[in-house]
Amino acid sequence: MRFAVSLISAIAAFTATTSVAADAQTTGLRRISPEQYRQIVTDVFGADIKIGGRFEPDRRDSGLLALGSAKISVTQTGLEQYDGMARNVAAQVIERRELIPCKPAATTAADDACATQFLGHVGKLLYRRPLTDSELKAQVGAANAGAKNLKNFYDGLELSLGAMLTSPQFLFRREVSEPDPVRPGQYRLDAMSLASKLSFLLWNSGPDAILMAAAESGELGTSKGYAKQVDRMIASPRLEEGARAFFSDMFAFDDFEKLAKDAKIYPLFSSEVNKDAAEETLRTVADLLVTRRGDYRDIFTTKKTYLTPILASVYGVPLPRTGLANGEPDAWVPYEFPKDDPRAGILMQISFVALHSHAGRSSPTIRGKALREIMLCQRVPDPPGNVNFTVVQDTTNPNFKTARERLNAHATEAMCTGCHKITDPMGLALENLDGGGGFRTHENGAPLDTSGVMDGVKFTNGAELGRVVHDSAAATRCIVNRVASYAIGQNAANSNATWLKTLEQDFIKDGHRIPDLLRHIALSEEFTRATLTQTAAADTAQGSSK
Amino acid sequence: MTRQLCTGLTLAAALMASAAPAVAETRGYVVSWFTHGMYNVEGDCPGGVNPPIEIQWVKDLMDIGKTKEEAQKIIDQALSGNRDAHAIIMNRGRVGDKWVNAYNNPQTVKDPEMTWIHSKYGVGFNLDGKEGPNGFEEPETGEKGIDNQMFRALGCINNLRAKPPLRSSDTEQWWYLIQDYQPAWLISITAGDFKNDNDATITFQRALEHPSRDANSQTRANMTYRMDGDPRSHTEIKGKIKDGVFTAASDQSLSMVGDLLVMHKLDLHQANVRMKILDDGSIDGYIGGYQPWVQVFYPIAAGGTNFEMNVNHDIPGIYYLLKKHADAYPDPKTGENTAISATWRIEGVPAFLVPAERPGKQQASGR
Repeated sequence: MRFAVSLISAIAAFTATTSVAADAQTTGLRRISPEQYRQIVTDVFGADIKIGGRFEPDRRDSGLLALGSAKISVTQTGLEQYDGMARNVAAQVIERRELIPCKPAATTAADDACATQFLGHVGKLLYRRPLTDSELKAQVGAANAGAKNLKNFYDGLELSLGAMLTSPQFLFRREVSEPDPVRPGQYRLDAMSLASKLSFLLWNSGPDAILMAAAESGELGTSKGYAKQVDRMIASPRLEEGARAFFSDMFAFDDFEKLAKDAKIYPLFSSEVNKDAAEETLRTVADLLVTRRGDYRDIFTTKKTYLTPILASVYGVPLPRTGLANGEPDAWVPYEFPKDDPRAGILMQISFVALHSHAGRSSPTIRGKALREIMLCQRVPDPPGNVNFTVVQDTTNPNFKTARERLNAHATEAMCTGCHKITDPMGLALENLDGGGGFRTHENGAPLDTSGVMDGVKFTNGAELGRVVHDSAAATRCIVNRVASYAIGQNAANSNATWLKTLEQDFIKDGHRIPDLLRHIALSEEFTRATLTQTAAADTAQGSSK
Repeated sequence: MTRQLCTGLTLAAALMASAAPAVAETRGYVVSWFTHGMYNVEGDCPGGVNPPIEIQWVKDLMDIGKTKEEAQKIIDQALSGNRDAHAIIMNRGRVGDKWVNAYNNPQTVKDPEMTWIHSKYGVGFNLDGKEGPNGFEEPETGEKGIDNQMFRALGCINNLRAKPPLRSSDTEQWWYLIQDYQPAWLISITAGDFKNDNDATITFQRALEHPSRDANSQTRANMTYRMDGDPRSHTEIKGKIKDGVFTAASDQSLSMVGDLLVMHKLDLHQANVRMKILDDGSIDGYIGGYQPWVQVFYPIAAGGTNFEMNVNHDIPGIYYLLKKHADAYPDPKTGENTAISATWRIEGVPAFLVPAERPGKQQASGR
């Protein structure tokens, strides 16, 4: 536990390190996400490094975990988890001698030169900036001390690498500002912070060698040099990782970790389906928006997706395990629903209808609320605490066979009617999909009526609802707001209304293309300048260490 | 494609489609349960069911000259996993002055004279058209003269006993064992009207894939299977559908290649079928015919001592039971019947069946 406390103290001291110029200041601090942790380790050490253990829960703020990441720290329990993962990763790395670019003079003793070479190299990639002399000296000193005590150079290196992986310099994204030479009196992000911010936005990982070199050479400080890097990164296939991370956050796919279905009611909703449902949607949007540079709004109407045979069984569509031996994991296969199939768009995918349902029944209200809040950025009030849900929950009542009938009976209570009006019509449009994602036309023997109205526009089924959302100005405004907020780490709607308006106009003009939106954001002053964000991590850590 | 509600359509599109004129439609299924056709009722084994194996083994070992105490000691050791004791039990057959494997050479063991079914009821079919002394009465159809001597022979082995819809503990274990590594068995039914049609066809065949499981570890519905095309596992039988039940009484042989543990080879001569087509999309019924009785015996014998121990079968005893109750296809030389009337219970859930030869329209992709 002393170890954990010392690390918390390290976080507290994080903003006061001497690694930056005297007139620089920390203006942002965000804990890296589990996926970013994995991606950085993969980028630095290779994809075969296994990462075990549980990460601390993230916090969602204004619809995004990325915003909550500026308001969370690391608990003592969390630090123990990070420590366990770090030791495990370090052991695997040191076992792969090819990852160490030098050989010690003797394996049984410390080797200052080799330790410096290795730790300096990986330290720069892990901390997303070159280590200061004192930092490197401290890490090498620790490695040497370990080597001496354990009489093994590699054991010492492993200890030092493990410490780096639990360092706040690695676990937190720190944004440091410096005086802006172009705008006297104002601050901008320093080159390393900007490189890191850009890389996490576009690739969901730390900067690669080219970006870091551009930061070190001063290229990133010029408009032309910076734009060149932005364009290079947007053109890279790694943009898909960035897009997947964003949409996984926006669609709240972290909730799949706590999703459970009643196997008696939804026997096809197995653990594989739970695991693959989000992946289906992420592949759908990555293919449409990144690979094919398509119109964002088409995610609500597209008939193209990616499936595994197991997912296909839930949808009730044929998909053989072509080309695979028995026992091999299922492959993902591009699939297009036939024209006469009533399903289209991500709202009718398992990831939406199952995630926003109960364990044993669908929920038009939850689905409608999710649509409003996630896709349209609209706030739906929580129900009051004293509501009687008995009628809605009883799916066996012969007088109310369908969810529509049950909700109509429930909505006779005046206190409920207002909110249900803004959620239920859209949710009822998706009633052809049960709580496990399976297709149905009837509930308890009664035919389903999936017609409704959203903001004055009529629809008759889920696919038409998708078209209404596609055409909705709110959906366009919402995605611009979400991407912008994700990029700057705070709710852009709170203080950047003009910027958002401009981004929205450009987004529409460019054909609703996400890569173009990202480019506009990355090149904007709002992204590159230093913006004081909450440094709750440090505050909390300081509080914890007292 | 054969889920074949309507060729080319997904299940959802078919559900949404309006009623169409009756054209031949093929529905595909994957077998989700396969077991001996049993129909056990209280008192169907006069004197009680056959004893558990640890008691039967005492008799077996005393038959080869062990004292009761010696026999009990060997059995206790065997039950504790002692391999030498297993070997003594396994090699309890005798040829001249040599001990031989009793499972491979059951005829070298004295018939333990296990008991068999004496009951009015049995599931299956009247294969010979007669109502002889061995005929059962079908509990579902009321038909008399039902030929199911496999049930008569094996029905008093405790772990095989079951009354539908309950499943015997023995075959339940088998089924769960083979699900993950036996190629799936497929059934398709073609008809113009799945409630009443005098011209319907049922097809039995094998898939290239193993069955997939659902969240309850049962056979997953709506999976897609590629049809193997191997003629050793392909039988089409003409029949009719009345009130949602497919029936066929043919002169054909129904053949399937299976898994060693349950049924390494199935050849049902004069194959009969009775299959309920249920509203939930599944099927449930029986296939029957005259089957070489060694096909029933071999998978049981292959289990060896562990099989005897775990599922309470006296393997040579089963050999004698099956041989004793075989009732068809006498060997021209010996006059001994080589086949036994048998009924097997089959359940299936909906599946998409596609030809294996067809190039995949949707190409697999790695990420």
